[in-house]
Order: sequence, then structure tokens, then C-alpha cells
Amino acid sequence: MSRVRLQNVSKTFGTTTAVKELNLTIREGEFFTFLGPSGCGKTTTLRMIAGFYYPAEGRIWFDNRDVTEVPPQKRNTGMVFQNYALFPHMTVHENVAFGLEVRKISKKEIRERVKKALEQVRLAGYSDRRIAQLSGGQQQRVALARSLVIRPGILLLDEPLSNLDARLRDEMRSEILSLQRSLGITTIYVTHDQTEALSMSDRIAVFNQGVCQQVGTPEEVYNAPRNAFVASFVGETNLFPATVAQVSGETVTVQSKDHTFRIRHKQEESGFSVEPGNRLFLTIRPEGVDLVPEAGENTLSAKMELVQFMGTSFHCAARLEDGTPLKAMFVNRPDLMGRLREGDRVIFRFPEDRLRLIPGGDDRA
Amino acid sequence: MLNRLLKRGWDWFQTDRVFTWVLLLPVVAVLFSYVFYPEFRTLVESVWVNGTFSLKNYRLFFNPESLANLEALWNSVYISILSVFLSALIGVPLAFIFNRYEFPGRRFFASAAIMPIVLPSLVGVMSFLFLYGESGLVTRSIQDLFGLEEPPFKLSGVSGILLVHAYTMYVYFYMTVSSAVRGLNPALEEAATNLGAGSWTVFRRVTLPLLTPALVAASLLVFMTSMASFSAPFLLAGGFRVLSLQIYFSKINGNLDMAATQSVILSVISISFLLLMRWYQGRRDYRMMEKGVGTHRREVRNPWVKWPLVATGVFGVIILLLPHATLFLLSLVPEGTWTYQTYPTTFSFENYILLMKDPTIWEPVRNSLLMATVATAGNFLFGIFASYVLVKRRFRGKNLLDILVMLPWALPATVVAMNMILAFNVPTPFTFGHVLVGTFWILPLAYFIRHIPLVVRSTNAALEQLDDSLEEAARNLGARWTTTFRRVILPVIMPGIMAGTLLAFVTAVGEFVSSVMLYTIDNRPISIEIMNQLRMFNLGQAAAYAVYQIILIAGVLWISQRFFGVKAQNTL
Ligand SMILES: Nc1ncnc2c1ncn2[C@@H]1O[C@H](COP(=O)(O)OP(=O)(O)O)[C@@H](O)[C@H]1O
Ligand SMILES: [Mg+2]
Repeated sequence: MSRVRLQNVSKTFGTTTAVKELNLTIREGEFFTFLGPSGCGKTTTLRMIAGFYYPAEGRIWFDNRDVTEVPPQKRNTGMVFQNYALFPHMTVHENVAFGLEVRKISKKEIRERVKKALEQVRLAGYSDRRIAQLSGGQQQRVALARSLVIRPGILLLDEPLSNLDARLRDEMRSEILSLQRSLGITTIYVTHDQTEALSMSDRIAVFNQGVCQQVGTPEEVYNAPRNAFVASFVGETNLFPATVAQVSGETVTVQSKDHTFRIRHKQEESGFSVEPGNRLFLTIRPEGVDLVPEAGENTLSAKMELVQFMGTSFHCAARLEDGTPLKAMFVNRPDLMGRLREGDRVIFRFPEDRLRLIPGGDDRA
Repeated sequence: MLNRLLKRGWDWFQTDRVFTWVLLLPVVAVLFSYVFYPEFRTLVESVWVNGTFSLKNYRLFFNPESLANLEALWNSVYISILSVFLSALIGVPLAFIFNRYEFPGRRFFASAAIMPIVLPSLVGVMSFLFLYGESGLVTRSIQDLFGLEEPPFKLSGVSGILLVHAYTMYVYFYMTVSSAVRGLNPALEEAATNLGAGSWTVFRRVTLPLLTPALVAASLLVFMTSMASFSAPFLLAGGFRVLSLQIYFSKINGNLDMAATQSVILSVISISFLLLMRWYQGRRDYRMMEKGVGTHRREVRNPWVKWPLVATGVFGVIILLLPHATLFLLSLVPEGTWTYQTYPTTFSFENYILLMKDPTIWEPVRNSLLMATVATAGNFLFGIFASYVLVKRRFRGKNLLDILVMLPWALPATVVAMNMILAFNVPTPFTFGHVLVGTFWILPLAYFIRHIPLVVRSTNAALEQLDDSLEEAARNLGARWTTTFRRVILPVIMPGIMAGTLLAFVTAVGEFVSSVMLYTIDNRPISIEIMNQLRMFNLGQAAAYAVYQIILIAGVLWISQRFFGVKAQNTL
């Protein structure tokens, strides 16, 4: 199992910069996810780690070995491709055995290891099947077995579930996770699906336009987004431009939408300090919003436009007096019955411990 | 220390960029020596008169006083244009009828319609002469039937050439349009109908625009083939001049300067068409061509339409297969048994037996097989590497390399042969200091050059199907490039390569045009021997050789289709 370190890595294709000045350390045995919208450079980064692209600048380290220019076949990484890339002219067994054969491992050992790998992915008994005779989920498992059987230092997965239907996706998600946990293998997982990222990862790196925006545990990324992009890409959120009015210790007062809000702001947690006059974003997750009977501190009045009852919760879309949309979510409780009606005027409260400040309001305010 | 350095060096060697160049080097070397350099020599020959640069030859060509060359150029062009129209006139309706309607015998007719492609060019023309020439079987039958004094018609001149061209080249239209019609999503036409368009409007506004790429491609193909056509004018033209034939005559008369000039002019036309075609296919929108669309054929119920359709089909197939049948029939006529009689009377397998027994009759077959084998082995190896770098590697100048690969396909065989004569009649480094003209090796080399595009293209098609991630997966699992290539890439693309290579092989066996320009007594191939037998009026033996070639080609096409899953239209 290896630790992976990317040091100031950049990659350009012609004039487009796919990855820019990336610094990352992936710890031994960790389940690490690259999350970001399509085209943000996740695959490019993964392929640099696998050795299919060489960085234009920067170095890549596996433990203390500089692998920046090492050809892919000498990196001992196991990669699962988005389309699986199973060899169509070989059987399941031959596919899984391929990596062992090129390592010149004895026939007997190959047979044992392939058998074990196929058992691990619950495909024992399928070894003589042709690839074309397998379903999508089974092909996925063969691809997984093929990359695990070589005992790679790092497992690389590029959107492995995107070709599966919704049900299989859930099933494979937990299967991959339990395999990873039991083997303790360093894993890098690429996805654009935030649910996958949040539910599987030890840590997540959020990418946008070739730049890594934030690295952190799922809770950190969700609860303490570093910037507006992370806040809106990971989960749903409300973002309002705001101006700092007053700072006293951890309590900050900001002006937004002609209202004044009080917020708890910890510099060590968010990574930046605020001063009066700063322009920034005020953000609150839909589930942080409260419904109150009358106006008070940190409250706003709004008109309820759409209420969707989802069973466990109500998803509401409202509009503030100045026309700004607001999303709110309430867990289903008996006291809410009949209180959420479309077209009603309601008063929302933003609790000060649920509000967060995010830098970067300058360009929007 | 040294070990470390060596290992560094090896790693560097294996980096992608360097490795691309390592693969590229032999490919570029071959193309430069055998494609570019000969063409360049011809150009030099045409402008280098008595040791100085001069355009004298070109002035001679375009001399308004002696119109021979200009006339030949004009004839070539208008024959080609007419060939395009005639071929389209036959091929396009057939493609529609066989792909849109269901009627008894449709599948049989549809496959019979591609039968002209199993006839090598010389053999095709020969069979037409046997049928419709002055003393052809059909000509004589009609003469007898109506008791005419004179033969009612004879196959010769422009009409003869056009007839042969239409017969052999409509297949291009038939195949390209058929595959376009099959790729056309019927929902599009249904959508237009649903929106209220009448059937003529649907055809004009929806179907035709979608078929335009296929029609343009086929037209260009027929035009080029027809410009290059040699066998038909060679046997039928009489005094009629076409450019490809003029080159041959200039060469025979020892006027190499003029032959070079004519070659350059024909090259310019062909290369322009090649570039035009590449440009057109580049801008062609493939998105409309959906895969796996189920075309539903309309069943023809009305008996007044159905049976005439079937009758026309049967009649058409008879006409189409008449040349094949005639060749087979005549191949059974022993030498000297058909002299003054109207029709042959004696039939036996003597010609085939002689083929196996008589060494002088067997020798041309052996020569052809040997030379085709050598050439095709070269094509196989070269095709794999050239195609791999072209499809899977990125480098500067790729477009140029691609054009160079396609050049021997675009250039008429006469020109390719002329280029070789002018390049290799002196010792060159590319021929290891030997003169090739007049030796055994000139023909295998010519066959090799001629078939570079065919093998590379069919291999390209197979490689383009191969997802890049397959190669990456193998390398990720620890395989070196050589292992990856041997165990993953090669097995997957083998069917495509084999199909192209086999086709190159049979075409080389039947190759006439470059053979007639380059052969020597020692390496006389089948096609030359067919000509000799024709000159000696031994039609039976000539036909037996022809049948032998047809069986070889048909066999290969069948194998490709059956075992390599390659559709006949992909081989064009
Ligand atoms: N081989 C390539 N050639 C040119 N551009 C590329 C190549 N691979 C990726 N790119 C570009 O780099 C950017 C990042 O792509 P990628 O890493 O594939 O994104 P994703 O996050 O969706 O995996 C995109 O703008 C893409 O167009
Ligand atoms: Mg991607």
C-alpha cells in the first residue's frame, strides 16, 4: 500500500489547462475521492497517477519514489476504467490472469489467485465465460477483480458506476467500499456524483476547472465549504452576497438583503478572517433554515412558492421580498401539518450556528 | 552505476513520444523510398531535359498543333463523367429496391448484385469480348436468330468502354448507397410523413440529403477508377485515345520524357481528387448514421408489381452472371477445337488438367502466387505498423503521412508503374544499390506499393473500433508495449487485418496493369499469360486462367465475410 503525493502538478493540452498547480497527499490505505463536474480535470489527474499522461510541471511520488516519468506498466497501480476495458477476446479467467501472466508468476499460483479474486467479487464459477456473456454489473466486477488480483499499491477507479443502472449502482457502491475496507488498499475514486463521494470517502478533493478547491472529510466539505463553488456543488445551498458590518470576537454581523444577520465565525475552522467592510457570501443549507411564527433576530419574510412532500421531509421553494429564491427543507413533524401551504407568507429564521461566511463575494455583490 | 544509466535509457526509450518515433521511422522510410521518391523522380524526369530545367515536355503536351495528348485527356475526363452517371443510374435504384422492399428472391438478387467485383479488370473486359465482341456468343446468337449478314453490333470504342465501366463500377454506387440506406433511421422519414410531407417531399427533403455523402463518395470513387481504367481501353479502344493508355504507348515507344509528363498530369488530377475526397469526408457529418437501426423492408404485395419486379431481378442476375458463366463455359473448350465453327462443340477439363500438368502453363500461376505472397507479406507487416501509428499515436505531420499512404490508391496503376520504372532503372540506396527494372523483384514491389492503402485502410477500420482503454488497461496491469501489442491489440484487430491482406493477395494475383508495364520473361504473371493466350486465340486456356482467379477472389471474399465478419462493402 502506498502513499501518493502530487507536488505542484500541472497538465495542459494545447492551450487548455486541464489541471493547474495541484498539491495533494493521499494517505496510505485511504479512500480518497476526486469530485467535480465533468471536464474539471479529474480523469486527467487520475491518468497522470496511472502514468498515461506525464505532467507538464510538478512531480508525482509514490511513498518516497519519484514516479513522474515511470511508464504505466511499472507503477503497479490497478485501474478500473469507466467502460471497464475488458479484453473482448479473452474469457473472464484470462482477463483476470493477464496481469499475473505478464509478471511471470507460476501457473499454479495464478490459478489460485484468480480463483480467490473471483470469489472476492462473487463471480466464482464464471471463469470460462466470455466477456460478451456478462451483464454490466458482472463486467464491473471482473474489472475490479482484474485490477485487485495484481495486488496493486494503489487502486484507481474512474467513474466506475456511471454505466450501471440506479439499483446496481447502490449495490456496487457498498461492495466496492467493503472490499476496500477489508483489503485496506489506498484507493482513488473519481466521480461527479456527490452522494457517492460523501457516502464512500475518507476524504474528498473537490475540483473545478482544473483547480482543487478544497480537500477534507465529507463532513468538512459539506459543513464547512471553503468557497461558493464547493458550497453549491456539494449538496444544495442558499448563497447571498453580504457585507461585513461589525466583528466582535467570534460573532460577526453582516448586512445582506437589507437585513442584518449575526453569525458565529471561527477563523481556524474556515481559514480566513473578516474585517468590517469585507464583501463575501452568506450561506445556509436548506435543512438549516427554521420556520418561526414571528419576526425577530436573523429572520426574513418570504412567499412559499412550491412545497413538495417527500415522505421524510418537505422540500420548499420560496421567494424573498426582493425576488431572490430560497430553498428550505423541513423534516416531517406533526406540528408542520397544514402549516406549509403554497402561496402563504412565512417567516424564516437563519440560526446563527447554521449560517456560514464564504469568501469571494466581491465579484458578485 | 552503468546499470542505472542503462535503465534510465530504457525508460526514456519507452516514453511515449520517443516510442512513437521509433515506430514511425520504418514507416516513413518505406513510404519515402517507394511512394514519394518514385513520384518525385517522375516529376524530375518530366521537367529535366538534357540536363537543364525546361517545360518543353509540358509545352509539347499542351501543343495546340498536335492534339493527341489533349484529346486523350479530354476523352478520359468525359468517359469518366459518363461512367459516373451510368453507374449511378444502375447502382442507386438497385440499392433502393433491394434494401427497401421485400419480395421473393431478394436476398439472392442482393448478393448477386455485387458479383462484378470478383472479376479482375482484364478478365472482366475479356468476358465482355467473348459475349458481345464482333464474334461474341451473344452477338452471334442474335445474328443467327435474325439471319443477319453482318454482326448486329460489336463491343468497341467509347460505347464498349462505357458498357464495361458501367458493369464493373455500378457496384461502388450499389454498395455505398446500400449501406447508407440501411444506416438511415426509418423514423426520420416517418417523422417527415407524420409532419405532413408527401412521399416526393420526403425523398427530396429528408432521404436525399441524408444520402448525399454516399452519393458523393461513390461518384468520386467511380470518377477516379474510370480515369485510371486501363484494361477496357487497352482491349476495346481501337484508335481511341485515353490518358492512361497514352502513358503505356509512350513507354513502349521509348519516349520516357513524355510518359513522365503524362504521368505527372494524370497524377495531378488523381491527387486533387484524393484531396477533394478527404476534405469532403472530413466535413461529412456522421452523426446521422446511427448504428443498429432496424430497417423494416416493405413487403411488396401487389402481384402486378411483385412479379415484374422478380422477373426483372432474374433477368438482371442473368445479365450480371453471364460473364462468369461464359468464362467457365469457354474454359472447358480445349485448344484447337473451336476454329471455324460458330459455337464451341467440344467440352472437357483439359485446360484445367494442363494447368496442373504442363509446367509452362503452370509457371505463370506459380509466379503470380509467389509474387503476390511476397508482396502481401510486406503489406501485412507494413500495414500493422503504419496503421497503428496513424490511428493510435499522435505526432506532427500525421495528415501528410496519411495522404502519402493513400497515394498509391489514388494514382492510376499505370502511373505507379511508370514511377517505378523511372525511379529504379538506376541503382538507388532504396534498392540496396541494385537496378530493379527488368528483374523479378520489380513486380512484387509494385504489388506491395499498390496495396499499401488497401491493407492500411482495413487495419485502420479495425483499430478505430478498438477502444484506447484496452491498451491502457493492459499496460496498467504491468504489460510492456510489446506484450500489450501481441496479446491484446493484435488478436482483436486480426480479422480486419486478415480481410485486407487476403484481398490484397487476390488482387495482386490478378493484377494486370502494373504487370503489363513491368513484367519480364522470368516473372510473367497470370494476367500477362492470359493476354498471350488471347493473342494465340487459345480462348479456352485464357478462360481457365480467369476462372482460376475468380475462384480465388470469390473464396477470399467468402472467407472474409464468413470468418472475419467483414462486410464486402468495407473492402472497397
Ligand atoms: N487527451 C486530451 N486532449 C485534449 N484535451 C483533453 C484531453 N483529455 C482531457 N482534455 C481536456 O482537459 C479537461 C479536463 O478533462 P478530464 O480530466 O477528462 O475531465 P473530467 O473531470 O471530466 O474527467 C477538459 O477540458 C478536456 O477537454
Ligand atoms: Mg472523466
